[in-house]
Amino acid sequence: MARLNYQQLVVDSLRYDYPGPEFPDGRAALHSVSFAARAGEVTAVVGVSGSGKSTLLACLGGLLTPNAGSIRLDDGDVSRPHRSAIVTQGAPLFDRLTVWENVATAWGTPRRALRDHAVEVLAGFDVAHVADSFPRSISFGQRQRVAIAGSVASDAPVLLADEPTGGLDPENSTRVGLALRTAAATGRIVIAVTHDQSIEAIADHVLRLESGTVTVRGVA
Amino acid sequence: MSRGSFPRPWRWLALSTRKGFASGFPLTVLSAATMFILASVSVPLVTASEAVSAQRSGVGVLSQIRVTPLDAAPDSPALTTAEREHISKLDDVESVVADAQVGIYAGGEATWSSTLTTATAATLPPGVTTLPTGTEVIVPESIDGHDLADAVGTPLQIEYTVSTGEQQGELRGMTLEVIAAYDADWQGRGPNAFVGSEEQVVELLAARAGVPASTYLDKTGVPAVIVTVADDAAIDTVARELSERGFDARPARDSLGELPGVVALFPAIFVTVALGAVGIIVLLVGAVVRGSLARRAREFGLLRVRGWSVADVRGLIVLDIGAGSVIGSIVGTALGAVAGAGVSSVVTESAASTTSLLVTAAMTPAPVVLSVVVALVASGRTLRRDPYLALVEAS
Repeated sequence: MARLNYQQLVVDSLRYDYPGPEFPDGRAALHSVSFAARAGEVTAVVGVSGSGKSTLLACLGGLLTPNAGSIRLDDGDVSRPHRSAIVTQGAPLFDRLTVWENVATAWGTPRRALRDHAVEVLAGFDVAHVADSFPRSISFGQRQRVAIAGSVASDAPVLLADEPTGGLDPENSTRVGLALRTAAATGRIVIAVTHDQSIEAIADHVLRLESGTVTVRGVA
Repeated sequence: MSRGSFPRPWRWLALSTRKGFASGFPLTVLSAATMFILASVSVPLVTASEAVSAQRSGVGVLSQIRVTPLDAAPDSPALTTAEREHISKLDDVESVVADAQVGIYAGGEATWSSTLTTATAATLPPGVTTLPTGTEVIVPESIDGHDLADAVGTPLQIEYTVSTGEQQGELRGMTLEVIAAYDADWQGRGPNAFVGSEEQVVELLAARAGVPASTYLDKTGVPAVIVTVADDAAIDTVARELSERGFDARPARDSLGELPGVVALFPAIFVTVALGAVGIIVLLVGAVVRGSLARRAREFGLLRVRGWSVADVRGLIVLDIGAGSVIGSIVGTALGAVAGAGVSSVVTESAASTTSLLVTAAMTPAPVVLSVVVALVASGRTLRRDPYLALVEAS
């Protein structure tokens, strides 16, 4: 079982080049990105489209392998999959599983005995009432909160959210922002890539990326 | 509570199967159909091949020639003792046995009638291994409603016809010794036939003709003989020599009806079915893999997000198809073996051989191996693009 009480995620001189024949000289999506994100806090990564935000998130989540630099959780490597949970854009959930089953996959194959515990986790994000629904029958904002709840259900000490409020109205964006804060309150390191100012508003730190480079580090 | 971790491919396969979004079902159906057809063909094929092979060797039916005088040729020689001795001296001739039958009737209060026919080692009823000698006889277990199964080991009273003059005769009684009984459904020597020694059949034939047995054999001759040829390849040569001598000589393999021809067609049918199945499996597995990736793109992308590697996703696809194929192959083989055994009983009049069932069972993994190999190749090609990236772009 992974421990949650890590102090910080440290990214040092991270570089990622897009592979493939279309970039014979290499196209750097990330240049020497360095920052630290602390446990119990929300770090927002902002920037225009193509600035490298999603690439950074994929590197942090172990989905892409950086060409250079390091990502460390306290003193350990973060690339092992169970160290991070990712909430991707569009709130994708397993459509053929109910909401509580989606959450329960964090603990293995969903079975009836896990339902109550899954509902308990969902309640923390105000979506317990849709526990028995299928993802396609609930609202987009509810799906996003379910996805965050599922990430919190796992033992992963790092929660990575890619545009968690994309396509949401202000009210639902606020709710998702609160959900991220709830997740951070459990002792997790929360990093959210976003265009949304409401997320910037609830973040403890803001990191601005431009053309793959960190240009601004700020405290919200 | 005790916490686990996100399911690995085997558990995800079980979950997706239970929830009805696994991809392997078409392969289950295809593998079942393939193995059903292959097993239906292979069981009778191997059983019949074994039967034919057995009959080609030693004293088997397919090494025999039935020889009769030519009815239409007045100068055709009779199958007398002298002529039989001549035939027995031809090259490659193993034995010459009379093929004759004579009418017999129930003795005492019983009311059945039958024929007493000569026995050869190749034409003994199923389950009987002893050739009758002297007054010994093999009987059907029942005849015209009379149970003879209990007569084994006991004397049996019969009656036969003795000639008493021109177109005149009378019945006389004698005792035969029953040494075995066979299932009355077997009609290899005709319905309800009693199978006895050549000596006994000739004695009754001679009595019906009103002459001593020696005179019957030396002058009249038996109606037919079975010539057994030692070398399978010499059958045509021996048959030609007998024809040239004035006999009607018919190798048994030419008169066994359509069995050899049907058996000869089996390999071609089998190869055609097998090749067709291979082609269909390759096409279908490719289509299932592509369809699976299209239909389950979001799911595979999410699995990547949940910590699976691309290799894990590929493993799930292969497991899904492999498991579907395993189930289908086993079910198809079992059903096909039953159907094949039925075909065997019709074609060869015998139960499916153990070898045929083993050969069929050995083929069971073939669709599975083929499906898995094609799935590995197809998934390798289609998963060049990371499902995670497809998920991000779709969002």
